[in-house]
Amino acid sequence: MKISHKLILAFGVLILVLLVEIVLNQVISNRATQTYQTLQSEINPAVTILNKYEGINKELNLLISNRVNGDDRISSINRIKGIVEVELTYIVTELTTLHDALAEDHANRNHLATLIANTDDLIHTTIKFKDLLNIKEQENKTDLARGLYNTDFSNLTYSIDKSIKQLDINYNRAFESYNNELADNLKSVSRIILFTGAFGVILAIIITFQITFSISRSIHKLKVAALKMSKGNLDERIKVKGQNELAELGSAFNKMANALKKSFTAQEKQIEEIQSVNKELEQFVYVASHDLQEPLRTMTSYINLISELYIDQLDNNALKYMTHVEDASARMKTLIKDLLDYSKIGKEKTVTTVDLNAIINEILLDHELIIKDSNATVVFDPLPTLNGLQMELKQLFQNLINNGLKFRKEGTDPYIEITVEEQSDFWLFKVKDNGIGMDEKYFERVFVIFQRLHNRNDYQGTGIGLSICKKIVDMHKGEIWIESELNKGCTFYFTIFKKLKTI
Amino acid sequence: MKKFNTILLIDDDQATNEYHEIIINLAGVANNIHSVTSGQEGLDYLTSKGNYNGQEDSYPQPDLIFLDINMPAMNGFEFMIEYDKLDASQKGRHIVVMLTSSLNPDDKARAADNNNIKDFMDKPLSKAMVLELREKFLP
Repeated sequence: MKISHKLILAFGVLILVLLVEIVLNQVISNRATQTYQTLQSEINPAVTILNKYEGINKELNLLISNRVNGDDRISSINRIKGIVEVELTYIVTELTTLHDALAEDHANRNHLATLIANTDDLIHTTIKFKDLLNIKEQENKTDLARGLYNTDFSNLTYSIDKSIKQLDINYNRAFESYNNELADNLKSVSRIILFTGAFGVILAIIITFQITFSISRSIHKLKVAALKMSKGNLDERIKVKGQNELAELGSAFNKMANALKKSFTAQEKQIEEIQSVNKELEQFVYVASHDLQEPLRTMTSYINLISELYIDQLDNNALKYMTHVEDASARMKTLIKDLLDYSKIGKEKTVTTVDLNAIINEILLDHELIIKDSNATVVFDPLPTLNGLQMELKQLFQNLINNGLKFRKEGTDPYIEITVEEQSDFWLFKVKDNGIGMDEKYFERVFVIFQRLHNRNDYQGTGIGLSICKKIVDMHKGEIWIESELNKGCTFYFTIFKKLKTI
Repeated sequence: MKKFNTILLIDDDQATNEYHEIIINLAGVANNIHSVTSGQEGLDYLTSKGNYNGQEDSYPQPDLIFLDINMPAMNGFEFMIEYDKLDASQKGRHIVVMLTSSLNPDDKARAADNNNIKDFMDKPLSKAMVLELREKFLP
């Protein structure tokens, strides 16, 4: 099932459980309120009135008893009057209300009817009693009163008392039973709430775990596969189970992996092709220049021979032509040699630790004579020891120093300065001379193979020195560039990668 | 001054052979010069076989052999393998190997391994080089 559906289901169930709880809660509240209202309207007033009546009844009984036994106080007489006229009347009204409120078959209705009747009787009897005692001329009125008291009155009060007590018991019982009913209801409802709540929680937990587990397991599988791919294993694929959103993600991942692999394989193939073409070209250059030297040598040899052996038979023009041929052959020899040297650079591809100071010293020693002859000064900063190709780095510095010596300003002693600056990933070198300098429009061109800026007669060379420098700098993952002004010397900048491991 | 009795030139390029012949003659260091244009021909000459089928009991035994390395079919080193198998009576007294390229260190090392190869030089020979050799081998 889709994860979104599972989640909706889980939440749905939870909401359902919540709704059930709310409903049950409402039911219980209603019940409780109902019970309370019943208490208020039915039972409480009844109990109150009955208790009051019980008191009044006892009081009246006592008062009448006293009156019969000679209590003539005005307060007593007034109180009896008060009770009869006010209290008992009020009680009758209340009891009547209670009576009328009850249903026809209610047990208490009859009891109340009896009580009301008795109360009416009591009222009449008390009035009769009062009247009796008020008649002035009556003889034996006290005896008659007593007689009345002992019979009617006592019976009535006794009967009333009994009724009240009965009703009281009934109402209390009703109250208790209501309470019990409510308690039972509460208990059963709370049990229902507990079970449905527990059920809902357990269901939610199960679904949560199941979903979380399946999601995180799928994510973990995806992560593992992605990491494996990042390490270069392009054959990694995900086993897709089911059809939910994560399965779709897995399929998408597999599609991506397939596309990547295809693209990589194609690229690798391209790179292989390019590399093999490069190798072929290298070999081609090597072999070509190698084989070109042989016939060139023969030409040079025989031209020399002719010039030597047949010099008498050659007129000036012939000699001049011969000289041209000789010069051209010599140039060609140098060109081929330079081409060969250029193609040989970096053939020895072993990176070693190179002490640049030692290299510069070697170069200065090799060129001792020419440095002395031209009165040149070469100074250099303490240079680092770094990883690189020993021979090639020597060649690099040598070419630059050579140029500084070769392209010197007439009348000025050459001064060449080599400095170094450490950068975060590279060493930056600076070779500065005080020679003839160059215009900035040549800054790029001089690094192209066999490009020269001057006539052959002015300065010798094939124009390969700087292109060799560039090739070497490229191999060391650096850059080379020039700053110069005509007649104000040249400064060559180049960088060498610090952390060179292989070429 | 002493001279080499016979110098054998082995080089596939006829022009080079001719040139070297002229140089050697100019230096005046040899009585005889014979040139061949293949290693096989060189062996035939030394063993009086093939085109040189003649006196079986006397072999030319040149004082000096100039041997080119880069030749078709049988190159300089392959020639040396066959040369080593020759009888002492057939071998020359010295050999000098010449290079086609400028002092390829691999070739030089390989030549040093062979006892019969006494020197190793760049082409082309010059008069000075030839005179030097005479100094070295005919003291």
